[in-house]
Amino acid sequence: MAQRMQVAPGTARGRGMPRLGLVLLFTAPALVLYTIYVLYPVGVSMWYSLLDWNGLAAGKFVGLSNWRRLFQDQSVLSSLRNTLIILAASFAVEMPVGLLLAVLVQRLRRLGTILSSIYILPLLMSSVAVGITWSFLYNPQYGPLYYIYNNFGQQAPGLLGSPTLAIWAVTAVVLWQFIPLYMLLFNAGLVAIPQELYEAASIDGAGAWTRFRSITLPLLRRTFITASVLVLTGSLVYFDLIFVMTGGGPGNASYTLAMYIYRSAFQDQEVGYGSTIAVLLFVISFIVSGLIVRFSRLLQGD
Amino acid sequence: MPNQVDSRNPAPRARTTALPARALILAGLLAGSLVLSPATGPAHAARTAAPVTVTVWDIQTGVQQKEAIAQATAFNKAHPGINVQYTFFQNDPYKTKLSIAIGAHKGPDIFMGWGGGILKSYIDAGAVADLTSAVNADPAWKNRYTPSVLGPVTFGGHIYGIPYNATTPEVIFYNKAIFKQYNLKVPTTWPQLEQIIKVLQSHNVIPFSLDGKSEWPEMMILQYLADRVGGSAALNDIALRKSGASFNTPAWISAFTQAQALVKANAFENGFASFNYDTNDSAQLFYSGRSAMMFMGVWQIGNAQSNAPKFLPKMGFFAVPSVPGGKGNVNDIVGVPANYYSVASTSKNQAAAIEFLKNQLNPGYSSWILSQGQVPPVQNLNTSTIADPLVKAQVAMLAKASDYQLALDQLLPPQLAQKFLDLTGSLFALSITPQQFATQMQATTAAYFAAHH
Repeated sequence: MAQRMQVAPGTARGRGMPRLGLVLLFTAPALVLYTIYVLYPVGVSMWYSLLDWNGLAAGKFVGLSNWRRLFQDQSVLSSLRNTLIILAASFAVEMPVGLLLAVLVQRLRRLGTILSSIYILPLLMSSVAVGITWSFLYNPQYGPLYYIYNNFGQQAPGLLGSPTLAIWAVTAVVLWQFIPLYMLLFNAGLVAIPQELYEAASIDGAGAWTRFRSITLPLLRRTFITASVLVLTGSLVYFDLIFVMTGGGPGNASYTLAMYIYRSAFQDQEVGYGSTIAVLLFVISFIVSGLIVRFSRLLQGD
Repeated sequence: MPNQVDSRNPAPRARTTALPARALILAGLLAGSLVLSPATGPAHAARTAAPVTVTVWDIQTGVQQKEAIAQATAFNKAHPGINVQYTFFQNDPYKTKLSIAIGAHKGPDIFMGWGGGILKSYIDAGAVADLTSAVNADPAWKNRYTPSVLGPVTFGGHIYGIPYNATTPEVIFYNKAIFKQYNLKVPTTWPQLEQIIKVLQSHNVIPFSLDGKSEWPEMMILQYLADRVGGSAALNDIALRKSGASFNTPAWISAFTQAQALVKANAFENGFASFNYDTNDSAQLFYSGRSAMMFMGVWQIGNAQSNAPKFLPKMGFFAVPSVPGGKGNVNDIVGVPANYYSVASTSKNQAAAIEFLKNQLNPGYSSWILSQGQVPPVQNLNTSTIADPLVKAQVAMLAKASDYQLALDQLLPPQLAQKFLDLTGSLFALSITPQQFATQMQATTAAYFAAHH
């Protein structure tokens, strides 16, 4: 009788409580930092979005008028469009090319190691140095384009000064800088795939493409998800090269959301309106992250 | 006539912070006056105390930066109790950095600025020390400067800055060798300038090199055109919020149209919109003789001395030509009357900072400015010994100036200035029409003035 009344080991009353305490203890430092540097600023930004404030003197409460202005602001739409361009291009180019390079580097063994240390260089350089150097390269009077076009007696296009092409010119450099990151990621993922699988498959008569499609790709699922998260979150908040290469110009043709936030808050001295756009960006990022988590659960199936 | 932004009605939000800020300024002034009043006070007290550090933020580059450091070193030697320390920044990044630092109350003791709308926003936030009593207490100091140069830093009768470098009007620089080669004469009217542009193009010389990415060089052209067409009142009245003054007027629309005409006539280098002033992009075209003219402030002379000294003999300038039928006086100049040092109200060393300000534009430094091909905004300038033709030309231009207007992006409040610059970029990229510029700019201006009294 007494035995049946005993609480089974391993239930909440038994091992659970101290375990929870231990978990909280170890995550406390991270949680504290997260609260101070992420949760609190997000909350404060939401408050600032209700103010008309120049960052210097006291702010004035204006309710939802910043939000009303946001939804009528053409620049927000074009910023959103440019941000999506960077996002789509990054997704469509950085991951496939990164994967290709990773496979190549693995295949070539020693030569591959040398190549990969060359391919990695763009990622290691400072964004500002990259931006200024590429601005010189794109320069239609001094850069290589000038000499190529001049050879045929033509005028080189001023890409960074074109309202339609500036964002594409900058995106190209973004891709150049970040493809190595995905090469690294996929390299790590590839290394984790046991060689026996490939050997077994080739014994069974599978060709290179079939091995790639049936072994490599499925086993890289987790890496794809990680890479997708990086691409999506990185592109949504992208700022560096836009700031250095075009400053959002000409006019507002190459604004991204992050650039527009910077412009409003720090150059226009409208911290309230800048916060409004920032909150919008937060909401978009939140939704996108949520979708990724959902999608990854689906993808993992197990 | 000095420019003064109307400060009769400070913003309501300024009043809510004014009280603690006023107390701070008052305390600072009291402390400052207590220290400054006895004649031997500072020197005697300083010898026994540890040197006080005064931090200064500035944007000078090249030889001007070297000279500024030399001046500070000499000052530190002469004033053992004060240690002036400079930090230098690039132009555009500096503007943002200062704004953030002031907002966070972590700025330097002394910061440079251009006066006008941005300084006013700092004053309204209570971040700038009032120098009026310090200046008035020292007539020799006050009378050192030309009457109009204190205009952009005077609001409501109070002085918030001290000029420290050359007065720099904006002009059109030209390559004398190229003009001679093609028999071109300095234009006095806009049609003459258009003719020069055509001749240069026929010889495959870029007429104007322009830094479109920086946007303010383009804005200079618009500001001058507006002045030549509508007179200095076209912009001054808007800055002073006079009723009826508007960007949506024939004068401004005509200015925008003429600017676009220049773009359409290919007066600027191909791809000008990607050229950045901070990396000397279009200056290189000018110095290398690929372009014949450059719209720029006379500070460019200092730049040429550092970067292209061999080009200097070929460098000349002329005033922006008159526009037929325009109301503007061809002797009106637009530019930067001076750069100013202001003292932060949060500075713990205001007295020492003010001592350093008194050292600005001393006779030795003024002579140095002249030797660099520029003109200091001081009275009683001995111009008889000047041999440099560029300096002579500047002195002559300044002497007959009918109006000296501060550059628009400094004159107007930052929000309006940024809107104007944005629209300027779009105008020169031919993405908006002159009428659209005028309408949008006026809408933003009216909304801003309505919201900020």
